[in-house]
Amino acid sequence: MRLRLRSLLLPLPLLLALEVHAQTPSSVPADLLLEARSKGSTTAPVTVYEMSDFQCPYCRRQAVETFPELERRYIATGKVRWVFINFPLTQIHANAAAAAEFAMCSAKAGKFWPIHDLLFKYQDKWAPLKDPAPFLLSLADSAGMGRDAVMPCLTTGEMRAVVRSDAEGAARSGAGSTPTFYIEGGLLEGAAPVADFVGILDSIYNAKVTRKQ
Amino acid sequence: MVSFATPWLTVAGLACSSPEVAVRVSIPGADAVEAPVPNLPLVFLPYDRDSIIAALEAKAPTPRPNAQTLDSLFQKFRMPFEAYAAAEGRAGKLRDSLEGIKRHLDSLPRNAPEYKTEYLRFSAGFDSLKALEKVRDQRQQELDKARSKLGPRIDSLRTAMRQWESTTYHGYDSLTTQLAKSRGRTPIADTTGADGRARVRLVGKPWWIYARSWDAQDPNQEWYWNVPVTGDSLVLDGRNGRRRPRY
Repeated sequence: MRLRLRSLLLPLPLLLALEVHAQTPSSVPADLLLEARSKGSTTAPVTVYEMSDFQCPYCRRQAVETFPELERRYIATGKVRWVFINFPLTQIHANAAAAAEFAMCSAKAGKFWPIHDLLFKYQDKWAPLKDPAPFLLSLADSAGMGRDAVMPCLTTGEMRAVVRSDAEGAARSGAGSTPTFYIEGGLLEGAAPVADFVGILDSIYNAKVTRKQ
Repeated sequence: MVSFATPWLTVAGLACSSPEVAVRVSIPGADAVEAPVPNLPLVFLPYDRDSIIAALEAKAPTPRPNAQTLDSLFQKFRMPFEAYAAAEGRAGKLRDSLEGIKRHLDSLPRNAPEYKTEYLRFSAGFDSLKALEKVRDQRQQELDKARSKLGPRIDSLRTAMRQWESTTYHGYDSLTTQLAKSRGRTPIADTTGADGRARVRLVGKPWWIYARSWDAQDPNQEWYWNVPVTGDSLVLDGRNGRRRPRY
């Protein structure tokens, strides 16, 4: 894990705002799409952008082992807003882009987070498949939304551009690996343990809250 | 400015990364021996610039200006340039060697038996250097003469060529910006280090590497590369680059 604070080419939130607005299909408002893959209060003092790849084993570790505890401590308590950004490393993960597109179509159907959890839970099942589509669609059933909810979106490929612009924004913000976290101007690289997040998030939260008082 | 209280930590292997691409650039130097090219700008493009240029040239309203006269003027200029470069190369080599002898002399006591031998070597070399520098100066005068004779004509033909290129490639920037956007990737720039090497992490594919370098053997040519990135290492050299005139 590497923690670094540095000046970025452009701050990630700004990049995302530009990219998502430019790429979102007209039928889906850009803010809604970003909201669908966010957790926590929009007024939370701290925002974390997680740049992640559904096929990356370290992202899985983050999602399965670390994130639930962070959610309990920071998101549920209104301290942190968490935003998921797709950063599929297609050169090493053949099914990562398909999984990201599937997750974004699920986001359109309001089921991003259940699919997020299922994709990571069953990563070892779909990651090695030559054609992961049938397995991914079975996850739509597991998430209780049914295949019909995602099929039109997957067929038209309307989320492909969103995933691509997510990845471009992540790369331009300075991320070179997954998971990478953009936390209020700093980049945290790698699957950090809960204790590391606690130190960082408490520090930023306290600084921000103190400044407001 | 928010600061993280947690100390900097580095735990290797806790992240997935796209593989790095290692690039090495090597071209023949003035002495025709292959040498690394340091500080060379490299640009990784998410599109094939040659095919875009070819498409724009195919649509050009007028044909490219005939370069035959320019090429022949370049050729005339090349001869005095090569003569000067060779003379300066020989003088430079001898100068380096004499500096080595001088350093050695400075480290010896005057009454050491070796001092006299080395002094005689230095003295003979110094005379040769003077002769070589004289030749070099003559070649330089010839080069200056050629430059002042051929330069204005070359410049005027070059201007016509540049005007044509400026009109023909007018749409290049907007086209490539659109292409990069549609592919979700923007060009990445890097520079080779002192050893002629660079390492870049590329996300997604395909990519092309584009670079241009001075041709040490011909002042009117340059090395040009537009090579698809395949695999995790790439050598840019005379085999996959081409020399082209610097119009």
